[in-house]
Amino acid sequence: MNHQPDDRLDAYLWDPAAPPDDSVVEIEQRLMPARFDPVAHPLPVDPARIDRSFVRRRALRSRWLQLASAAALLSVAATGFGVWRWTWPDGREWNVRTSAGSHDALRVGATLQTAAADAALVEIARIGTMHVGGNTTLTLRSTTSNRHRLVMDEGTVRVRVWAPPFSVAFRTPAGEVADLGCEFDLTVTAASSRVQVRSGWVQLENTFGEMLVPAGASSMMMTGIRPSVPVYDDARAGFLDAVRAHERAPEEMEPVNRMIALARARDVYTLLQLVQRRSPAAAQLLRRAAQLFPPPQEGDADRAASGDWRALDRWRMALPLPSPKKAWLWNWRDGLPWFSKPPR
Amino acid sequence: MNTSPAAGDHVELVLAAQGGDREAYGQLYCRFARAVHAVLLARLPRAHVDDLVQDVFLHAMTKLRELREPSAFGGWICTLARRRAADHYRRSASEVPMPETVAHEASPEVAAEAAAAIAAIQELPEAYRETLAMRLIAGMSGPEIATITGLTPDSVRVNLHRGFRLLRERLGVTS
Repeated sequence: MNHQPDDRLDAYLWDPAAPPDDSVVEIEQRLMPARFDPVAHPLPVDPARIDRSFVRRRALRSRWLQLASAAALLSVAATGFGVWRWTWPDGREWNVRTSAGSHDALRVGATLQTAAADAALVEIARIGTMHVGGNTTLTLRSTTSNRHRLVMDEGTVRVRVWAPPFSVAFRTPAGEVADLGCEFDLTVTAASSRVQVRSGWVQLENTFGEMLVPAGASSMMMTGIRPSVPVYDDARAGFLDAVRAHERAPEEMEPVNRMIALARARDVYTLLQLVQRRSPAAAQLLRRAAQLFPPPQEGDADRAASGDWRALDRWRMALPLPSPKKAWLWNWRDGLPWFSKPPR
Repeated sequence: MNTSPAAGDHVELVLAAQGGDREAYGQLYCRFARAVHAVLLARLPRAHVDDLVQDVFLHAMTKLRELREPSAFGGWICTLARRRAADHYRRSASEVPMPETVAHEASPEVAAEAAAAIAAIQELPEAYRETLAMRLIAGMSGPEIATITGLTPDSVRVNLHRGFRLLRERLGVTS
């Protein structure tokens, strides 16, 4: 057996520096024209340009990553802050700062009473603040996460809460006042409770009925009478008086005519609330409402006039007002302490 | 200039290129272009291969900073070349295949012989194609091929031996 040619072949295949094998050399020479010469084929594009575009792309990707990381961190921080803000140990006292500058605590069952010239700032757990005016008497009935209840006998408060609806509620002689995530002024006497809503919604409720009051409007609740319909504070002069006169004496036409004459598109909410209360002048009020803010479906005004409450609801929902249930989230400024202002 | 892929330490060149040193990347191109060319030529018609070598390096330049192990540059760029070849093959599957051609400066007889040899390599079993192209066209040694392909030296030796015998037989070259 002659192994010499195979050994030479294998050695040269393994190492081109070894003594050459004829058959390998022959095929190498055949393939020589196919050899690639990198010097003869330099990279066609200016590498500097590629470098810059590469760096740009990398910087862009890095920026996106930074933004995504920041967004994720922000989301985690916001969730954590929300949980911390809305949870409150059962029965923990609230901080109070009086106008004299002293610090105090409002415990469950304790009453805060101010003299005519006094004022106080109360921290409502971690969800808001309450500026208490003079001649005010209020008692903290209970406090726990997302449920804080007070009794207010008299006086004035400005409440500012950023929390889910019904987190804070006041029991007053005329009925219950509940926040739906908002800022409002509440004035209480032995016979009435009056709210002026500055943001969000407030609900008035007593044994005779309930009423939702939107931002920019006011309403009143009297002992033994259902809450009055809300009227916007910027309504034309005379409109508020006409509405209250109609509530007192629904059969009289003069207040109805005044309301119809003075109503603006924004006052359609008030008109529809009166219709819902089965006003004897429902047909006239609906006609005027349809002129000011047409209902979403043709014929809804007639259907509402004939007692179709779904048509009335549809119309009311079409008004440019936020949903009371979700509106509190959008009133995020109510959650920022530096927007808080005491009542004048 | 050292143009052998496994010769010397290319780690520093890779690190420098990752830092934006264009000259270092040029040196890497000179060192590894023949290996990439062999990988492509084992799979694709030669008419496309020269351009694709440059495509692979241009693409690799944009990905270079993703390479975590600089010593693996050779294997990494050959992997990019194989992917590029597969991609090119898929895209041009519906096209009429181009006949094998070689450099214009070669005589018709020499060009025809070279084209026939390339075609014979491409018809070999897959395990032998790349190894033989690296050895016979790129002029790489067995240890260099083992380093760049990640195969064991024994596997490279077997592939070279068996592949060359088949090639020689098909080309009618006597031992």
